Amino acid sequence: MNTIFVFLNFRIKQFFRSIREIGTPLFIILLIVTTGLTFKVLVFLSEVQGIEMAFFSFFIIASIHSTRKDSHFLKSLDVSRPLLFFAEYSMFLLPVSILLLFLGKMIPAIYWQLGMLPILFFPTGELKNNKVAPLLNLDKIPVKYFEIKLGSRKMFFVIVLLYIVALGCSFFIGTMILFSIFLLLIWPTLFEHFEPKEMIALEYEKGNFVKNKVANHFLIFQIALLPHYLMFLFYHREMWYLGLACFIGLGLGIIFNIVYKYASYRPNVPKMFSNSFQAIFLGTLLMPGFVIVSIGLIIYFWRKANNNLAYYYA
Amino acid sequence: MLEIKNLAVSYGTNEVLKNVHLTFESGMIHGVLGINGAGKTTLFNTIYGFKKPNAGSAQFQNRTIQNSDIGFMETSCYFYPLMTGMEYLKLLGIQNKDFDIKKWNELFELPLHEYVENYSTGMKKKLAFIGMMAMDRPIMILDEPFNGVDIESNEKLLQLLIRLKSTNKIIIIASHIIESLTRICDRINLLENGVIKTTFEKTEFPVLEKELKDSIKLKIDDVLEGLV
Repeated sequence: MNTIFVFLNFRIKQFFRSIREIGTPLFIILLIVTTGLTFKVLVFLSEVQGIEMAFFSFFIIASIHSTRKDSHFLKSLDVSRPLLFFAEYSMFLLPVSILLLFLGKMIPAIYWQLGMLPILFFPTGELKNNKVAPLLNLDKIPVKYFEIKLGSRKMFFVIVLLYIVALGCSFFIGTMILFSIFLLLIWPTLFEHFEPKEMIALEYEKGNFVKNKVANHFLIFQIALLPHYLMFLFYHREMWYLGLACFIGLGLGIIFNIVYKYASYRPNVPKMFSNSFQAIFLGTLLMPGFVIVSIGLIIYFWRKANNNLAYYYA
Repeated sequence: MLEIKNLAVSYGTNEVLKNVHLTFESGMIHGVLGINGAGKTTLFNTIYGFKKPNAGSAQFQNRTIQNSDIGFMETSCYFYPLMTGMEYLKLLGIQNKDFDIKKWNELFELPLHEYVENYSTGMKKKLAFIGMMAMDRPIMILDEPFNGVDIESNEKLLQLLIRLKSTNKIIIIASHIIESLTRICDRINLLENGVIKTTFEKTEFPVLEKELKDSIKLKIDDVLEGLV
């Protein structure tokens, strides 16, 4: 019991440290973004009746559990692992349960907490991406889609799992919105790494580098998301404008991440380190009436990306 | 005594360990020597329970071995992001109330209040070693403990391991550095293609060193013939 207490104590410290690591200005921006997100989550939660909450918490915890890297470390601790997972995941899920209780939704709160129970007895980290990556035959993905290759290696299970879950839950009106927010949050991870300069030089020579990159990725991602849009329209035709908003939001997200990546590009630097503008973009995109700022950022960074690449490769 | 009986492990169709028989006695340092891919790490992972064997078992004091019997220092240990060295040691040494972290750290002088992610490879090794000492288990398995460690710490590690023999622990070490192994080990098992080829007692270590050097020379001569 003492081990679990010490472990949870560390996890809480780790959470606050990660906030400190982000830095105060970015934290304030993220706070604004998360306030907007919390509002949307509140609206979503007020419509949930019960069992769906267990379903959602199950998949959230399953995606965390299956990609944990600390299985060897935990094995060295003299503690019951299911009990440790139970304590850790309960703490992780608690804020939403408190929110639900605050809204007077006792049953969904209980379902939300209990959704993780089946996962506790499964070994962790069994679904490692590096185990499945060789089976995916990523070599067939052309080099110019470097980011898709990288994303598949890093987050294959999380993306596929949530893709299927979101598709399966499309009868529920909030799914498309939540799935879109999730995708907007992971786009930056896909685009944070810079490809080697030889790869850029090869494509740059063909002309319209940024434009082609944006068009190709926009097309690929939107085609991949087409089943979600269609299912949304199938179940909620009367709310078509919400589907359209998701389509536009996700599209803007793709464009922004590409132009921002090449605006910050430096040869021989492996990845982007500053993500302040990504937070501003996301914040303004999610807050009603501020979308114009997001579009303004896209225009600004598009120009900057072209100038930046021209400096190195023209 | 730790006894490995008929151990066979495979990854898919690739048989990594084949019918391995080994005996590790208390109060002794046992070396496991082998080239990359010989099966050393798989052997340790199987003893520790990370990998299920296809056949065979590991018995400690005439019962099936348990995790709580072993302190395992892996080739590269996992450290949580934003975790300090002190927190790592406190977590591992929670069951061992007598463990004096500060006293042990005098040996390696690690900045325990800094995040482990800022440590160098060698510092991480040393931290993992102190962590293993904090767990105070009867069996200690060290997979490549000398990799990335500076000369001074390497010497400290060697002397410490020699001293630990008096605590009656079973110490098992895998290393590529044969000089380190021959200096501290009482027995060295040569692992080749998943099979224990030979077990050398301390008196036979010069034979082992000569055999290894000769076999490497033979391979080099074979490959480089006509090239250099």
